[in-house]
Amino acid sequence: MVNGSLRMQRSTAERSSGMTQRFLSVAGVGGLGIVMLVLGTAPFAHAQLAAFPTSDRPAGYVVFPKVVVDELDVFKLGRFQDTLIQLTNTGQDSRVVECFYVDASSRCNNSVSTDPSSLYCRTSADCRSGGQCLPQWSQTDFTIVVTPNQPVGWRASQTTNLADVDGDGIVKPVGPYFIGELKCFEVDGTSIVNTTTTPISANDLKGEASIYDLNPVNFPAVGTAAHVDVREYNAVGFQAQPIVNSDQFLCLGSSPGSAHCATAEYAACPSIIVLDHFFDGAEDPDLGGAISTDVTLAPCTEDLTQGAGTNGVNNQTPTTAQILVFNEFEQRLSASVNVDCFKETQLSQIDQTAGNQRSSAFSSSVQGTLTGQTRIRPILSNDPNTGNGLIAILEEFHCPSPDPQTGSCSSPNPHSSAAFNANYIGTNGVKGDVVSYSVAP
Amino acid sequence: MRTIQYVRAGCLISTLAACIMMAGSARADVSTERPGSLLIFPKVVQAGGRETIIQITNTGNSVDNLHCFYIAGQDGPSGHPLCQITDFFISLTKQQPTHWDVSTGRSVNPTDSIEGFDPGVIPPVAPGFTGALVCAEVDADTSPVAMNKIKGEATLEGPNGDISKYNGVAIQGSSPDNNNILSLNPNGVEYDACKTAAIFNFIPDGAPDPIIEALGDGGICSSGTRSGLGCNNTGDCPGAGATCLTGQSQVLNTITALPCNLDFQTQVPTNFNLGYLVIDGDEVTHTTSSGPLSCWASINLSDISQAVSTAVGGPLAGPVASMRITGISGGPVLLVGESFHVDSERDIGAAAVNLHMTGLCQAPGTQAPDLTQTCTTTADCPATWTCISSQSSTIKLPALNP
Repeated sequence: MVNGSLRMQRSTAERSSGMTQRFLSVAGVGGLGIVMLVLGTAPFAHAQLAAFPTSDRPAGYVVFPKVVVDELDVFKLGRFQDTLIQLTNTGQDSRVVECFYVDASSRCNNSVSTDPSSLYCRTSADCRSGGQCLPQWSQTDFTIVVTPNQPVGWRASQTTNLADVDGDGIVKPVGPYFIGELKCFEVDGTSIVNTTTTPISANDLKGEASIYDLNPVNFPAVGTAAHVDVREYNAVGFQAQPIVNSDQFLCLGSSPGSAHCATAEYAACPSIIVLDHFFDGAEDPDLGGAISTDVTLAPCTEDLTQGAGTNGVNNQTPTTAQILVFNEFEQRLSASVNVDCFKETQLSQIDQTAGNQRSSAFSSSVQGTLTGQTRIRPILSNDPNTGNGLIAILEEFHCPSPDPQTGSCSSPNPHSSAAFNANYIGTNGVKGDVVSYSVAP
Repeated sequence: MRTIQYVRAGCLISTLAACIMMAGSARADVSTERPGSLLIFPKVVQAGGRETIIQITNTGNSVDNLHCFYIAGQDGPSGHPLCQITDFFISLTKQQPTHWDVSTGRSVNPTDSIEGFDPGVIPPVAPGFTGALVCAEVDADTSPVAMNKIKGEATLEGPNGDISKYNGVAIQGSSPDNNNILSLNPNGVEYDACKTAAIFNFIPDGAPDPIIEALGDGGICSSGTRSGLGCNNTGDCPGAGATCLTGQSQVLNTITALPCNLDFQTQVPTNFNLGYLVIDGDEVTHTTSSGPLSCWASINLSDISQAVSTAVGGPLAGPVASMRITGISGGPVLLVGESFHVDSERDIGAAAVNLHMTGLCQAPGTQAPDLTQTCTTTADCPATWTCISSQSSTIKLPALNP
């Protein structure tokens, strides 16, 4: 009986242990199945959409932060400018693309004609007596069709009919003088006729902009040698997420409480922009002369609902950004910048007025080293229906004879230049950005 | 009760294992605009009147040590790439930027004319150097670490004072093994993998530049006092009957390729081949491939017959074209593009650009992905096809304790 009892006890214990083992096995197998499922999908899951802006991946919404045209040398700088835009559909389907030029060129408020030399200005000193140079912001939109795998290109100053190259649509010109940006995104439909211009979840676009500064021989004066200078940057892409609403709002990241952008439709704008640059006035280690850098800051949030020719500058969201500047001694200075709708500036004119650049936190005279790291962080407002994100590109100018007062190397001084994309760290997790638009009938 | 505990334990263990494995494969990235743990400059030149300035920045809040390698890709006496490796160590304090000219390097000398914390002894490259620079984050014991804090740019200067610039390619890492073999793989364990293909957009090689033709010296005078000299229009050509013969400008393009498989340990060069798919503005496609390449390559598009403009006898109709490039043997590659815009007086404007990186779709049962089908995810591919976003490679560092 004892043995029987023992057998019973062992049986109970064994049964209990066996059951436990079965349960554990089931749990383990089930868990292992979960692990296998996770690992099995990992290679494909790894091919994820980017949650941040990229300039080296195809995307659904691409921004060219700086487009310039000056076919008439409006300010007598001794050179002409134009921008070559390249846009490619890397996908297998024809894509309808909606584009907006944003004109941020400033205008004199007392211009008596549309003559560019009296209309456009950089400062009030460019205007007739008593005039003020006021910021402008207006958009021009156009719709094009890019066929599968097709690269297209156009000069920003010119009208281009893409039907001449197997696409469709008319690329509108920006005119003889322009400074601003270009934004393009994929929309529904397969032709200009059947599109409703609502955005879609697709990531087929890549773009490049080449900015030319050049002059022919004997311009602006007899005896002047011809000069060619070209700089190129990649358009900044925001990849579309799997779900994009069929409305005329592009939601870059998500904004809880937002009327239109509670859910992200595109990658979010960065939290911090990182610039690696030479300080203004730094001596070129190889060529001698000096180096200066311009930064172009474009807002991620934009209101493109104003009609063509309407000055929408007051409808844009102003943003203040905090700036930290580090030199090669790890020393840190700070500054801030206000971006109302578009800002293109020499670095040392961020914190100093023209003529005082040598006192700037971005000047090699102040910093004492040749290169620096600058971190730009936009300050986010509490309004969930607008955003404060920024993107940037840089242009670096090298010249043998910088402006003795400003240390600048940009025109009118002969120069060579290069453009490159900024780096980004993090995304604005608490609030996104929104691009609202309407398309002219 | 105990059974429930066992079940919970089983689930916990399994879930924990899944989490650990997923953490190990946490998403990393190859990028030209985000900091990483590997920083690669595919094009470094100190030859032919050109110089290169390297800028590297530590974007983090702690010291970052780097083990860097120059790869000399110029041909040696045998006519093959030297593939000589020169390595050095630098150390950057928090948020510190640094720079050096590759022709002079940089010494540790607080009293020299180069202001700033000297990051370490950086040797100069030899005259005639054309190749690449690769830097990897390491700890104080020279073991690889993945802090993902470094970014950089390369400025190419000359000839004749012109400059162009591109961003270094940063590869993010996560949890590298404590050995000297860096695994770059699609799961992102250790380091993320190089993308399967790259896309270069360009004005067809040899074609006139449309903006130089319009605004600069795109022609030469046919006769008169400025015969043979540059002009924009006939008004620039004094003399009876003199005209400006336009169409004399041209655009020339190069791509520079560095394989992602690198062996700094034995210095055996990686042999590789590139496949090209060129698409012109009329969507006509042209395919070809390179011959055998080794270690590093700088390729003129004029040597790729499929990338040449109709203006000089090639097949490409303008105004722009697009080229897809993939490694068809030897593993994936990293590339930089550069275009040279030449007016009729041979004045040159150079512009470098980082190439877009992409995956390629692969059909079931085929040996290689298809250059005609780019993708970000498998959803972009035809049914039953798979998106090969990136491909595995390894970077072998020298033995840690020889």
